[in-house]
Amino acid sequence: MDLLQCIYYGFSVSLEPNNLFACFMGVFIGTLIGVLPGLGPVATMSILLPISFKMTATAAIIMMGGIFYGAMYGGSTTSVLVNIPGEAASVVTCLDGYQMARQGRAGPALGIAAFASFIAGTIGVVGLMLLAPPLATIALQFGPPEIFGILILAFTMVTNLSSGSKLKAVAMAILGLILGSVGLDPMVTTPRFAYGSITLMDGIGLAPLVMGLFGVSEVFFNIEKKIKAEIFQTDIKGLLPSKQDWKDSGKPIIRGGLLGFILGILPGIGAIIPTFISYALEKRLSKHPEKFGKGAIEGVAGPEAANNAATAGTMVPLLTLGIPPNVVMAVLMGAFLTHGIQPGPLLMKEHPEIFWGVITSMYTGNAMLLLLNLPLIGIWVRLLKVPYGILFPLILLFCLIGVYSVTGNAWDIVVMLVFAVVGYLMKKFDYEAAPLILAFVLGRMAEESVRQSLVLSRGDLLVFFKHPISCAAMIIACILIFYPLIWHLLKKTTSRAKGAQA
Amino acid sequence: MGRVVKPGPGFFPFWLGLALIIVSLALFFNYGRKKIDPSLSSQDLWKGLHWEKVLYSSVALLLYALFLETLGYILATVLLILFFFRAIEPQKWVVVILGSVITSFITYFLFKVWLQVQLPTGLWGM
Repeated sequence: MDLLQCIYYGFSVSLEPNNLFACFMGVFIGTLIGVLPGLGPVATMSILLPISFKMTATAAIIMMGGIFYGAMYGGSTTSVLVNIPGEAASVVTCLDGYQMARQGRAGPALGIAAFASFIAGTIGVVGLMLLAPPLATIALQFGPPEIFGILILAFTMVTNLSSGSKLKAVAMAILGLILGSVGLDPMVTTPRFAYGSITLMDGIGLAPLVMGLFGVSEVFFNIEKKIKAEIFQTDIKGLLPSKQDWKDSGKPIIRGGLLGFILGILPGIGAIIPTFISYALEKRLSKHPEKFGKGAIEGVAGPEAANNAATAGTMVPLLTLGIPPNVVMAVLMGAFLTHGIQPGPLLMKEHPEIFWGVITSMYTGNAMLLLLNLPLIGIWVRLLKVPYGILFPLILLFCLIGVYSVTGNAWDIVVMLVFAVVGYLMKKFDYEAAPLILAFVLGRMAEESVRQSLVLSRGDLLVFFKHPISCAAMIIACILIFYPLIWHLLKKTTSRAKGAQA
Repeated sequence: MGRVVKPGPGFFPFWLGLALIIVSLALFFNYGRKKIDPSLSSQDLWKGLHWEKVLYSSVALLLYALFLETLGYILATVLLILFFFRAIEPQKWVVVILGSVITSFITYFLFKVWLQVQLPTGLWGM
C-alpha cells in the first residue's frame, strides 16, 4: 500500500462511530485532567486500563493516545490563567502566558496555545506517517543483540537527561529493573522475589506501580501543604489572535513543531524538555528578547507547539521498535499488551487497523481539541474553582477502583499504597520516578534479549559489539556515560596547562 | 543463577543487586563528602507541612484495602470518603455526608453497572 492509500484506510478506521467516540472521550478526559492539577496523563491512563479491556484494541489505544495529547492542551489553560501548570509539559507556558493574562490578553494567549498545538500536532502526525513505515522495515531485521543495544542506549539517555542527580537516576533505573523481575522468570518460569505470596508471584502490576508513584503520591504531596489557586479575574475575550500575533508566532510554531517532533523520538526526552529548548531558541532568535517573561506571544506559541508535536514523536519508537521512550508510552504499551498485541515492527503488517487508525485519529483528535478548548474554555475555567479538599478524595477513589478492577485482588491496593509512600518519600528526597517506571517496563525485554543473545553466542559477552547496530548503540551509550568525566578531566588538564603558562 | 553460556533465572537479579549496592554506596559517600547547606537541612522537608495528613490517609487507604471485600464497595467507599472529607480537609457536615454517599453510588453505577468493571459486593451484597 502506498502512503495515501494507507492514510485513507486509517481514516476509514478512525472515523468509525465507535472509534470516533473513543477519540472524543480520550481528548475530553485528557483536557479535563490537564486542567486539574495533581492528576497527570500517566496516572489517568493507568486508571483507565481496566476499562479499556471492554473496548476493541483500536478504540482503547485511540482513547489512551487522546488522553496524552489532550492533556497537553488542558495543561496550557491553567498555565495561562492560574500560573500553575496543569501538567509538567506546560511549565514554560506559565512564563509568558500568565503575563499575557495579567495584561488582559488571556484570550489571545489561550487562542494561540490552542492553534499552535493544532498546527504542531499536524506536523507531528505527518512526521509520524512518513517516518514510521521505513523505520519499522529496518527494525524487522533486529535480533536480540540489537534490541539490547538500543535498550541500553535508552536507559543511559533516560538517566542522563533526568533533572536531578544522575547517580540517583541510575539507582532508580536499577530498582525498576529489579522490581520488573519480580514474579515468574520469563524463560523457565521460576518464581523470583515472590516470598510465597501469590500476589507477588504474578509480578508487580504496572497499574498499581504507576498509580502509586504518580497518582497517590502526588495527592500525598499536595495534601500536606495548602494549595491556594487564585484564578485570575479577567474576561476572556477575543480568543482569536490578531494578525500581528500570527505574524509574531508563525515561525516559532513551525520551529517548535519540528523541534518537538524530532526530540520526542529520542528516548528519555518526552514532551517536557522540548518546551524548554523551544523557549530558549525563540528567545535567542527574537529581535526583542527583553520582552520574554513579560508577555511575549512567541514564548507561548513555540513551547506549546513543541509539546504537542513531541507527543507524536514519542510514538515513533513504540510503534516501530516496540520500545517506549517515556513513561506515558510505557503505559500505552501496557494497553497494547493487555489486548494481547505486541507493539513493534510487526504492528504495521499484523494490525494495520491499529497502526493507521491510531495515527489518523490523532489528526481528528487535534481538530476536536480545537473545538473543545476554544468555545468551551469557560467550562474548564469554572472547573478550576473546585477546591482540592473535594477533588483529592475523588482522585484517590479513581485510583482505588482502577487498581482493584485490573485483577480483582484487594492486595494490589496494598501494593499501590506501598509505592505511594515510596513515591512520596522519593519526591521529598529528589528521586525521580520516571527512570524507575521505564526500567520496570523495559526490564523484561532487556533480560530476555541479554539471555537470548548470550545463549545464541554461546556465552560470548562481546556479541553486543559484533553486530553493527548494537555496537553503535553501545558506543554512544558509553560516550554518554563517560562524557561528563572526560570533560571534567579535560578541563582540569587545560586549566592546569593555563596555570603553568601563567 | 547459571553461567554466562546459559544464564539462569538468578543471573539478571544477581548483577542488578550488585549494581544497586555499588550505586547506593556511591550515593552514601557522596552525601558524607558534601558540605551540608544549612538552608537545605532535612528538617525543612517536614517542617511547616501537615505530613500527619499523609500518615492518616495512608492508614485509611490500608484499612480500605483490608476491609473492602468484607464490607463491599459501597459501604467501604462511603466510610473512606467520609473520612477524607471530614478529617483531612474539613468540609461542612452536609457536604461530607451527602458527598460521600452520592460519590459512592454514582461511581458504583458508573463503573459496576455501566462499564461492568468488577467491584467487590461484600457480605451485604452491595
